[in-house]
Amino acid sequence: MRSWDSMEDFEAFLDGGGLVEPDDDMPDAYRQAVFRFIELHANSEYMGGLTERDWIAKAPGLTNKLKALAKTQDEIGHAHLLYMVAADMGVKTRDEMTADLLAGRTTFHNVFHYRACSWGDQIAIAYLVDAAALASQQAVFKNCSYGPYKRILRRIIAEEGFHMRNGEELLLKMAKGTAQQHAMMQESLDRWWWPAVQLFGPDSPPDDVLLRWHIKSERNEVLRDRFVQKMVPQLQAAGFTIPDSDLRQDPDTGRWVSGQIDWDALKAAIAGRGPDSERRLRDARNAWDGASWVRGALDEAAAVPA
Amino acid sequence: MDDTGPVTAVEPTGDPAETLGARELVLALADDELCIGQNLGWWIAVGPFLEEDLALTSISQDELGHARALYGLLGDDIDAMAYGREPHEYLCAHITELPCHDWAETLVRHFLYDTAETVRWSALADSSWESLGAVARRALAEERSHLRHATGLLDRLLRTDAGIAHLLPLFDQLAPMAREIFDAPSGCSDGALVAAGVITCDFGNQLAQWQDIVGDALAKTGYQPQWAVADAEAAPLGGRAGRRSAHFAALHAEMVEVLSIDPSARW
Repeated sequence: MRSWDSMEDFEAFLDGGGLVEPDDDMPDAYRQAVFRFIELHANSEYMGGLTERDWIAKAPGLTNKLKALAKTQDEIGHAHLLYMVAADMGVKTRDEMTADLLAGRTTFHNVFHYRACSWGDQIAIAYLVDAAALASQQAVFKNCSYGPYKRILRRIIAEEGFHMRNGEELLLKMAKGTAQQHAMMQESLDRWWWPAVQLFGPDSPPDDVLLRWHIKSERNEVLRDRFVQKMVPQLQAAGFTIPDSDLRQDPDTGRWVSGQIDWDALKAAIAGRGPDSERRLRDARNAWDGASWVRGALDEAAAVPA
Repeated sequence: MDDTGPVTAVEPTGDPAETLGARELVLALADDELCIGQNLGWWIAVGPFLEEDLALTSISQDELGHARALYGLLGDDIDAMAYGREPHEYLCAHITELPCHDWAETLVRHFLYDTAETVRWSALADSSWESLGAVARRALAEERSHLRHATGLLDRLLRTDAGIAHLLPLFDQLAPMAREIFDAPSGCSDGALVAAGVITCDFGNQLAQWQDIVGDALAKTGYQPQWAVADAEAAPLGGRAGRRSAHFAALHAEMVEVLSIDPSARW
């Protein structure tokens, strides 16, 4: 177990590229901040699985169904890994994290407070939301100071890359498809564009401890801007419009500049007042509570030799 | 649905795939896998704990993969076979159509179905229809892990009062229904299939083997499944003859919802 005499020493260790491990005597403020960040990530993967599951049963064709199942299974697998890494930090157990999530005491990303209304929405999630999540995760991975998180992010990022490419492939099919498919996809992009942009969060505060402690490596506004620069031309080339009437291209730099971002929508969603927040948590609660006898019986069986 | 019309039994030296009833047998198996895979996929994100979500959706993907491989033995347009037929053209056993949105039901159905599958695939592993034998051998390897999952949970839960209370009554309900897995699909004679080497064990013997496996697994609880429904002469469910259960319409509507939006579209 390593320990540090002062926060200055600890921060010097982080600045030197040091990796913190679970049995290190890390400063409590760091432990709490990293834990909350991983817990939010875990909750979001779990709730993302619930958001996507509506369209797996309806996925058109066997190949799409298998891909959709594998993708959502990846998300749940990420939640599983993240909850274990978070639990190892000794702040809360897995069951406590689940209880807090289901009671609305902890949060998950804004995008998973919305409802997937069509197959097009399923594609928009893979194309926009997974791309946004991937960009954020890559930025965390790059310089991540917490060892276990950095190691599982490597796998998560590899899988999210597949999801995003699958989203691109499906989006292009819709772009080149029938008029009805094109219209369905445009409606989905209209629904999911702003939540995806908002996912990056408002501009980072000047003294963001997550940046100082090498959890994040880039500011929210930098990641958000990079996402807009990448997505706008791609979507326009595919024949879709961006649902931002104030979007403009700077004539000097060629860069795309978004219109006003509605941060109230982000805050409301995260606070559990999003369009589908209630159903999302209710589904999770019903599933969790309905199967409590299974968990209880398995614990009981484990305590008694066969 | 097989549209080649009835074929007559051929000499064992002929193409085993053309044996009377061979295509119906494969279609029935494929339809079982399609429905089971669809129903197991429901459990993503809503299982009793995350590890179980992951396990059930892995199994779901395996079963859908088997459906794809089996339809692939019958033709090239797999989605047309999987999703483009009329309800009466499906030959699945009714137990595969049950939604089982209660986890205990899912576990009991999973155990009954995967033990049955192990027997069924074993009877196909050395099939004279070589590509069918190859599918069966690959599937058998996967079934071993499915069974480990089902029996591992069942064994542990049946050591508890809660497990016994939740699970054993479901065997009374589901075990008689699961017998239908071994019913011959219409137009299918297991005598001809055994003679041609398509299957190496007739349906009656497969059923008996399966009942032994299920009985053995439950023996330590002192419980024996009531194999027959109350009326031993009850009419067959008819799933293998194209009669669909009350659950099929909703299951099928869900499978084809997006496909039906625009039949000319490629997704």
